[in-house]
Amino acid sequence: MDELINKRVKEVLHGNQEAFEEIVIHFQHRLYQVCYRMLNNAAEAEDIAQEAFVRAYVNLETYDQKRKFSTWLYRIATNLCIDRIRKKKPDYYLDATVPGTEGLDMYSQIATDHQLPEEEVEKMEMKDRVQYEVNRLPDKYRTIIILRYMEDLQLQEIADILEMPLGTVKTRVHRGREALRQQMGSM
Amino acid sequence: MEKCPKHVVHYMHAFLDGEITNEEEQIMNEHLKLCEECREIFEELEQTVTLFKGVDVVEAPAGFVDGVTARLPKQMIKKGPNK
Repeated sequence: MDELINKRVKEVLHGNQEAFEEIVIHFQHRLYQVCYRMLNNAAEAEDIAQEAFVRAYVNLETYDQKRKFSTWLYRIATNLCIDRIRKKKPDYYLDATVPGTEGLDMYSQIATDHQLPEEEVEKMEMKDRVQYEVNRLPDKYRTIIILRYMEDLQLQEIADILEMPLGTVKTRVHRGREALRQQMGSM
Repeated sequence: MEKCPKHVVHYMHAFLDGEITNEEEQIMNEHLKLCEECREIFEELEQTVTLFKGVDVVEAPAGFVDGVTARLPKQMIKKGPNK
């Protein structure tokens, strides 16, 4: 499959725009899904996933064909999602410590921002609950948990997408998983 | 209850990542037989993973591909320095 994709990439680079359509058809669902899970909004997910393909097209010459195309594409999409999430909260820096909270940063504040009353959470359908809990995760765990479990990617591929050491990805998967366990409580 | 081995939580996560060694798995399993609290944590972790893995796949809406095509620049990508 990777070979076929790289063949299409070469065709696009030689000026055949239609070959790009095949690439879009092949990756549309995976890329849309990751955006949807990250943003929790269908219209935004469509916009950002489409934008990711446009950026891939415009910057195709910078793609290193020795690497996996999907890794590169996921990187563009997750970066766009993170930008979009941050733009929605423009008034503070996410890493800044919240005064008087003994080192809690804004990530933890955001996680608690959209917390619903317990009785509402208990009434949710499980699929909505899963999405709700993912969105409550701090940013740095959320992306990794989505890539690991909803996109079913290997740890090394996630490290390549996020340009992060494998050890960091492992630690964040552990912490993200532990955070979800606690959020879910006794189901 | 027996004192929990220091790394037992790491072993649980290593297990869930498919990266546990035989020796670690043995230590973990022996401890889980004895420690109800750790067994509960482990079961909750496994349940959580199953739940998040099992969530329905979301598909791009109809017209997604045409939407991308419509947004592509008409001019072909930059051809490098020699135009």
